[in-house]
Amino acid sequence: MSYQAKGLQAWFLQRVSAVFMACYIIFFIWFFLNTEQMTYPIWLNWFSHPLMNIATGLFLVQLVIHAWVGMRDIVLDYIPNDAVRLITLTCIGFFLIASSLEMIRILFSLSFNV
Amino acid sequence: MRFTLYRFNPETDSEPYMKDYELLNIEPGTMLRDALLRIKNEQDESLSFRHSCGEGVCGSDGMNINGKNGLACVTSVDSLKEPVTIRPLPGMPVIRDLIIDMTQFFTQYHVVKPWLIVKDPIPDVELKQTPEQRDKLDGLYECILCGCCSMSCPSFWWNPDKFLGPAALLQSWRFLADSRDQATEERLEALEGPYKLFRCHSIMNCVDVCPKQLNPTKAIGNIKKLMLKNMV
Repeated sequence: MSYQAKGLQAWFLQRVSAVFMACYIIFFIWFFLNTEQMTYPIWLNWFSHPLMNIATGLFLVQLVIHAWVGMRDIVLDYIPNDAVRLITLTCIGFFLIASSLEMIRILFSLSFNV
Repeated sequence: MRFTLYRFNPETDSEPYMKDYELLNIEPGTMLRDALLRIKNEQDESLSFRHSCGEGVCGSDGMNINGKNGLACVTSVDSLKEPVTIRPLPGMPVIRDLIIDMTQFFTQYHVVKPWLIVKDPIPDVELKQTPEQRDKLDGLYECILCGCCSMSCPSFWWNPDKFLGPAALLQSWRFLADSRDQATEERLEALEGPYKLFRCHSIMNCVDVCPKQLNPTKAIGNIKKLMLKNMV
């Protein structure tokens, strides 16, 4: 995910992650609407299923990639000053890494709880 | 008919300003270029703008007409709302009145190497194409480099030195699509990175304003598709 020399990959990943996330979100809403009463045990059971757990993990990875490419695009378009550009990109990068670590911690705690 | 024109003479004016003119007895079907020439000849000979062929072939008189880029010589005044507001093409430095400095635009045009690159020994006869191969260049070779598209593109306004812009990218695809060209790899490699090609977000302002009805967005999409094909 370097900022230079990743035009095609970034563009491609942005599209692939969008399709994956759209499918995940549709499934998520479908499951939610088709469960009569969503209780914590059902929720926990659902998210502890290996397939759902992996799919959620993939979703989070794709979300971070998608957010990085999108935010990078906005920064490259609207922040002309090189120094401000670099600082903003670094802050966004740190925020995304921190968010992904937190998401991994939550997912792992779900896997080991059951 | 009322006109509001952008005026700026760097030798006498500290800031650009808008000046009003009124033209009487305009014949129906008069083109904007002819109206501007009448203002210049009858009212204010200091008014400066580029123009040459007068029929949409040379691409000299690109300007911002009532907020939309276009060629004055192929824009009928009948179609314009009054007062007709004319400004120079946005995004580039103004030299004087409606004349802009297009150096950056042509620098980006040169970057895509807008000529055939053939590595095999040049044959004694011409490089032949089938009619189908030739058809692929339709909608690409017609570009007259007026700059209306690139100067309507926000990505080109923000990063004119890094993003090549729709006009140059249309020409890039014109040579990538040419069956006689043998530099596909190098051309694609030169377009890598987040800026040169990928600042395009397909908002299609370029398609909206092109006076020759060309489609740079589609050409840019084709370049991305070809890159993807070459990647796998």
